[in-house]
Amino acid sequence: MSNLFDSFRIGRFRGFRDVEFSECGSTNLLIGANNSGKSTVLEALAIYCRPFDKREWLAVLERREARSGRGARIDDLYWLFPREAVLRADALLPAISLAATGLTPVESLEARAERASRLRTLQIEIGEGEFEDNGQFEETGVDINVAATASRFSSRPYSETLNFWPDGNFTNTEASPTYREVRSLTPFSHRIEPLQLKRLTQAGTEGWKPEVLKLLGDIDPAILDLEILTPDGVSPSLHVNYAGLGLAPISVLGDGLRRVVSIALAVANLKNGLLLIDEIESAIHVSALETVFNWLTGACRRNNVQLFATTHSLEALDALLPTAGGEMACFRLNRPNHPKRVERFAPDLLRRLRFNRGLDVRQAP
Amino acid sequence: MPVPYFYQNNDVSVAIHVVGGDGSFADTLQESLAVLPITRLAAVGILLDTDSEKAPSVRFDELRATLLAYIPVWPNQPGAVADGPLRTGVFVLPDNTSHGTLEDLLLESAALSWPETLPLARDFVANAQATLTGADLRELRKPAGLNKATVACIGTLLRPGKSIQASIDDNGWLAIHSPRQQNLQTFLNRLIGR
Repeated sequence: MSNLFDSFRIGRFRGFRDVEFSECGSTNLLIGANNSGKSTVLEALAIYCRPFDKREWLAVLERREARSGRGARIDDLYWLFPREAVLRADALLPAISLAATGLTPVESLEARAERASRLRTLQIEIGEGEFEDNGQFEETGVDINVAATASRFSSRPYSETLNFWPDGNFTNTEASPTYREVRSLTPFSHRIEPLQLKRLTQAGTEGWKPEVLKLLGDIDPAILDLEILTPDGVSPSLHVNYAGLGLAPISVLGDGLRRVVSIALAVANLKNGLLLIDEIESAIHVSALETVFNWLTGACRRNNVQLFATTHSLEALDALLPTAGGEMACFRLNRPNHPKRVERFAPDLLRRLRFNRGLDVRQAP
Repeated sequence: MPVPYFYQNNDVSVAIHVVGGDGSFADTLQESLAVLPITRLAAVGILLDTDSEKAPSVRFDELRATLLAYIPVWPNQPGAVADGPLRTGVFVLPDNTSHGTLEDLLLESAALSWPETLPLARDFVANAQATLTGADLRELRKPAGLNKATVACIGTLLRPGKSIQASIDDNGWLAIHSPRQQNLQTFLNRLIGR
């Protein structure tokens, strides 16, 4: 059976050039040393699924910047492009180039970044609620010209220019037939409460909360319900109805269960889509990895969701191998100077390397 | 976990995998190359017995076909070494043409080094064989069973309580070369680039 991505080729994206992820499985694990580009692959996949969605482009930046504690700036968009794009300030910069086979409607994607500028009026406050124009200034933004080939839907490429300005206000493109649902989880998503609140609100209004609760019940039957409460009348917060405990803030739960809640909220209504998890082992104790992964891969299977995950953990690799079985592909990302930038390990070979030989495959020697 | 034996001097490092069964040669090679870049290797060599019914040439051809999936250059004949950035070769014991095992070569050594001990060991094994019955004879009845038992008898006299490997190492089993041993030595020397 075909997956959303049977293969994925990164012609150019950030520091990657001409790398291929072939024979993808329904579960795909990316391993490799720090700075080998594991998270970058997830970013490229996320953009590929929603190429004209400005929110997705910005979300990619935000997920990365949340690590450093600063917000995303539109100048960071250049860093999604090949290195020359960052170094050159002139008009047309090198393009992002991606391609894929599988059920994904997009066969190839190209994106170019251009510096944009516009004149804006500077306003100063002269009184309470009163403003006065005080000249004009030139504002610099980024235009990204995106072209996607999806011959199943159109013989002509879809193309559009996405404008990004520093004020963050933008009009998003209407949903394109080229879109496929994609959810991304960072190592710390489970600790970002607004994200969980948003997802749970969607689950309630769109009617898929029962699926979330069923998923959670499969892994911990003591989780009876999730609710959004505002105990102080000001700040809504996520609460869990936990057997024997009653309604309690989700922060009362351990990190592992919070992680499970965030995964359940991501996957419950994701049908025929793509789930991207950066550092899949994050927050989950080693003794629970196999249980959680079994649960996760089962949910993905039922919803026909393809999973791409990164890990630094041998325990995670060992736990995922038996649960994902023959549907798994493992890709090791090597340093740019390595003869093979990406190496694929078939499940059978990986099982022998890990369980028969006890070899560490995470980093090329 | 199966771990290779490592031997090293100032010039060369050798890792020796002991594998069981023909299918395991290719698997072990594939696993090793998955964690060790081929560019870091100077040579890959395989030594195998022919105590099965298959002719040595057939066994070599079958093995070579599976090995080609992982390393593209292997010599066409057993006992030869393909030169190049990566030297490769397969030696089918005892001499690339006859059925047999490493023990055939060791017994040739025993005949030269311990000519009076060898007949005693052979007699002992033969007499002991007559006293054993049923499952106790299973290993001895294998094609190389008597030879292995004879070599082990001499080995345990030379190095009581130690493995035959320890005796081969310590007691100069390969110090005096028979012509067939010389072929093996030549093969190993070419493989390690001497």
